[in-house]
Amino acid sequence: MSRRARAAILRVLVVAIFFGALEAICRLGLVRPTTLVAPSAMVAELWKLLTAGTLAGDAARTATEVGGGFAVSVVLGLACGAVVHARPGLRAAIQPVLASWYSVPSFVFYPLLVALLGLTAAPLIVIGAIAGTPAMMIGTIAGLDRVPRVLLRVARVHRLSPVASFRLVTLPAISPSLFTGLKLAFAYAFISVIAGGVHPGRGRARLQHLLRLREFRDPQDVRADAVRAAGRGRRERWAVVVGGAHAASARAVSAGR
Amino acid sequence: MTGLRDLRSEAAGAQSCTPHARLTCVTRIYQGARTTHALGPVDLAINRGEFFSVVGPSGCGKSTLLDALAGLSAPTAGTVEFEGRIVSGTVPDGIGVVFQEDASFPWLTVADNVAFGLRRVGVDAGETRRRVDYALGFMGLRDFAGAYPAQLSGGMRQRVCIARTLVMQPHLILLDEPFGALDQQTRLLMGDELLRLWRDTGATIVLITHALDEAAMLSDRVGVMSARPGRFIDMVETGWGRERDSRIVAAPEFGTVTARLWSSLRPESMKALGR
Repeated sequence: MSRRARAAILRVLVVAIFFGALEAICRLGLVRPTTLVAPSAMVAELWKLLTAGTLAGDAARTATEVGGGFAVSVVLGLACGAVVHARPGLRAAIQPVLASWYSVPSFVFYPLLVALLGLTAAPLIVIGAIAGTPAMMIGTIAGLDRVPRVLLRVARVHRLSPVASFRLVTLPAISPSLFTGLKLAFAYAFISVIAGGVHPGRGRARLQHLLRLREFRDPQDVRADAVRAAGRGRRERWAVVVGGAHAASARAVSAGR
Repeated sequence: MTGLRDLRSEAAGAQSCTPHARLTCVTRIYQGARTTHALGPVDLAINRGEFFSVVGPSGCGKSTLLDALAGLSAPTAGTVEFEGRIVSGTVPDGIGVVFQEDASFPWLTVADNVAFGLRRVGVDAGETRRRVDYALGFMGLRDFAGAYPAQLSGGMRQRVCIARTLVMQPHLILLDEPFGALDQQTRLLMGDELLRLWRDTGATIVLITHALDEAAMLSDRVGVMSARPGRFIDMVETGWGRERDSRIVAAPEFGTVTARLWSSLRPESMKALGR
């Protein structure tokens, strides 16, 4: 058996053991069902909901939002990553921003985006893109950093056009990093869209208020209200964000960038 | 010979008179924060079917010379000709290059690596298979056709790169320290394979190397370069016959050739070290 196959089996085994343990804990009554139901019960209930068609509409909407956010992340992340990689000055400037990006929960922008784009799928798609794009960018930059220069010279020896060189040499060479970027971009887009979807449930009245403002008032006022809504109750989090950005900038300065 | 075009008769007829490649007053200056005069002016005529090696101190512009000859970089001044045509900006048809670093594509199998250039130029599948099979057999890689480069040793990976060059049937093969990362025994054996390839294909070979013994063993003629900016300060004719191999290192003349190379090179190497 190859090393790769062994690693795959091991990964599946770890997940199986984890869920097996969870199942055992729930079935033995060590955890109350009101706290956590057994994974098998979850799957059975999910199956029931899926077959009944109750979830179909919501699932399709969520899939569209996650898929949209992910697709935008991939396209934007690839393009921005390639541009940033080609320009070392820009890269030095943007590195601290990328390093501290995930200290900002992207769904805090949801009220602002609703004010700007309406209560449609668009705000959640944008939230997914805000969350996924940096992961894709980082994956692209890391991949391009690792393309051996000699392979590009081989492409020139074979007189490949820039497009053929990208397709036949650069893309396969960066694919491991790109794949990691894709996985992370999907995970971040998914988490952010779900978190953004939960948010309006808690602040429905506020969102309705914003939408009314959007219809009857000056857009400047709407944006100001949206920013206030996004900031309300999150002062501590913003302090952490600003502190994180400041620390990253300080690290960059001390590293001589 | 079945797999590759036989250039031997062409080589025999043309070796003495027509330069296969020619560099005239080639100079390379790198502009940047600090201007670096890397090479030249260099004048060099490489004969058809010749095995020519270039030795010189580190940083003297050997690889720059090869890049100019291959068309991978344009000289700042002077002209490069290959088969009577000016080389500028792109690698001309008929030139193959093997680099020092491992240049095999890790995501392709050995056979796909070797077929890479043929598929690119649209050679039909049957001909591609035939040429790849021959090249793999020639380089002793037939049993590893389905393996990936990560499963091979450094020497085998370099053979994959040579095979990938070989299938394109180049008239001029440029080798930039191809055995630099290999141990001495493997280098001697790879040298034998290179000589066999040279004899069988009749191609012209230009080898860039740090190793004086390698240059002395393999070459018809060795050009010794000065410290940067590199110029040719000596041309050494080895006088070996075509049917040679690594056993030539035991011949008394081998020591004479190597000693001559070192006596020309030593002051330049000292200069390059700043002494």
